Amino acid sequence: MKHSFRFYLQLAFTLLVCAFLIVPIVLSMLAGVTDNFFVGWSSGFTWRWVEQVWATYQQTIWRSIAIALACLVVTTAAGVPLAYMLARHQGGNSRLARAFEELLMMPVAVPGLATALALIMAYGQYREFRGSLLFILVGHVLFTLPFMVRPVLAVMQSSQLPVLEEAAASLGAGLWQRFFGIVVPNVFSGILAGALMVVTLSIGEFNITWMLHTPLTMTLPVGLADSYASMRLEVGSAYTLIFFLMIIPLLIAMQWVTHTTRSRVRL
Amino acid sequence: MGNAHNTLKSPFMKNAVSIQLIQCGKTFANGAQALQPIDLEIRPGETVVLLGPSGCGKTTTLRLIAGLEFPDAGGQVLFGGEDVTALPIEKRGVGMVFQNYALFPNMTVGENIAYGLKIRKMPAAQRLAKIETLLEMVHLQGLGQRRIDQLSGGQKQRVALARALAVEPKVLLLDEPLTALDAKLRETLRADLNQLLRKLGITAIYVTHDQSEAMALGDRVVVMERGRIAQVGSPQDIYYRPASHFVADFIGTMNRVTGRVHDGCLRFAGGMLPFAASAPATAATLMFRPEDVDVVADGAAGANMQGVVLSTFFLGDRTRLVIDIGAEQPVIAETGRRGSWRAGEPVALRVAEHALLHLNDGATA
Repeated sequence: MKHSFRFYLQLAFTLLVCAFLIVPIVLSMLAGVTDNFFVGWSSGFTWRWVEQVWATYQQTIWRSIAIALACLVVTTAAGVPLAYMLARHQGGNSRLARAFEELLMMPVAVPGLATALALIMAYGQYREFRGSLLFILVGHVLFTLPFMVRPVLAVMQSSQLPVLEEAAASLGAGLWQRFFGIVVPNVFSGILAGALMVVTLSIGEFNITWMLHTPLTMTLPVGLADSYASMRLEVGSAYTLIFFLMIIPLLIAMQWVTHTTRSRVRL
Repeated sequence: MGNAHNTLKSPFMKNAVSIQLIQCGKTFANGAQALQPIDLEIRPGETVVLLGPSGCGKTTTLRLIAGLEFPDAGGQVLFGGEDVTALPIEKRGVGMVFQNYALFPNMTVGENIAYGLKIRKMPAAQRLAKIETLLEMVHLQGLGQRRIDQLSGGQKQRVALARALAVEPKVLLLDEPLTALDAKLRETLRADLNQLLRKLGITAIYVTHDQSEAMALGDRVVVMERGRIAQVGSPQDIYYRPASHFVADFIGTMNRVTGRVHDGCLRFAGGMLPFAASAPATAATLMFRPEDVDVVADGAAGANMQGVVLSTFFLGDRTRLVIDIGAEQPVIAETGRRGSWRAGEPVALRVAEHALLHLNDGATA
């Protein structure tokens, strides 16, 4: 097959951009398994740094997973009924519903540090709460809730949910039976998309958590900053490597879910 | 087939209730008055069709009966003499069929049909038996395991019908159930629906904007116009004895000629028609249906009107002629006779006296 000069020019440019983005990531991951980054790759391969991170920061990893899952539970339990109520109020297009949605987006738009500071000012005096993981969870829920509400609301608006509910009601189903039997199963693709987004964002959340955390409630991204600041570069890189191993399957799952559910949503 | 009907027949006959609307009006939150306060009585087991153009209030009326909307203060809805005005839809025991099917996409055909039974906590074995009976009733044997997106439009509406009937509702409400289907399918399903409604003897209310559907299905037809009831009557009443110009024009095609009354005759540009007026009207309008116009040879005895053929439409079983009689509107005639008429040909028309209709509703359009 013969290609024109332009094709090769475009290919070269694309590869260059890709390389620009990918090289630092690969470099960082490689640094995590290099014996001495300043000497270079020739210094040899080692699992030493990964093991050290595992030994020192293992708790932050489990903590991050626990918070992400708890965050998922709370945002689902709060976000799906919230989206349902917004959708029921004039199909989610009323001024009230839109105002509510914008309000929900506030913690995303406002710098995380400001949100965190506000939380500390308001609830800092409750020592127990301030020092617990629950405090971090509150910050994460504030930040991730819109990412659950929005996709669920979008699916609710695009499907013929109101008439399905009328049909269910005519057959004798009350509000709860309709919500769990008809609404939830039919907006499941939206819930799934929201869930993956929430987990991904919660695991990677740094701004709010950095401000809110105590040494006992340190999460993975905060630990990463800690290790970069106070330890060898290789340790931080090994940490990054572990983070990637956790987050990449999630991102792939997210792409897969959006891809496979897109066709079903129209039904 | 017969068995399926017999097993279902009795509960509906027993359940059939009358429906009464007393001064039911509906004003929406934005101030729009969709329905003026109306009174309507529907007998047990009767099929009543609400017919009218879009925005006439027919769907609002249906939703008031269903319990999906509630009437303005003062309105009352009675089922079998019992006041159900305050009951929401899930407590009214109505079966509903929607224009866009509204089948649950997360369930199979069988699960859709059994949904109401499951809500009523019917045991699984009994449910399965009932699904089979209902599938047979709507001619969908063996499709219980299908997913909803594997069905055609006609099949979907049959499933929706089976689902609504599964709970043995007191009243069956159908909101333009055939509108989303193509013409051929519509006809088949309409015939099946008609047969089913007669056999079940269930009180049914059917909303449509299609007059042929209304004629074919209704024991009585309620013609609605701008939030009011224009006429209630049998399909024959509505067709042959329309109560207003609106009804006359909305149902079928109606010719009208306007002229001056003189010596027991209405005289107009193209001829004259007998007019037995008791009132001393000088100007009047007479109406008649195209099929009541007899097209005869020009100059034939007993002809009422003379005109010239404007255009002809051969419709297979009949021919439609548009004839200019020199009046404001041309006369439309339909004849089953085999003949050939050409545009520009002079013809004579004969209309029997009993086919003439004179309305005194004030509107002279």
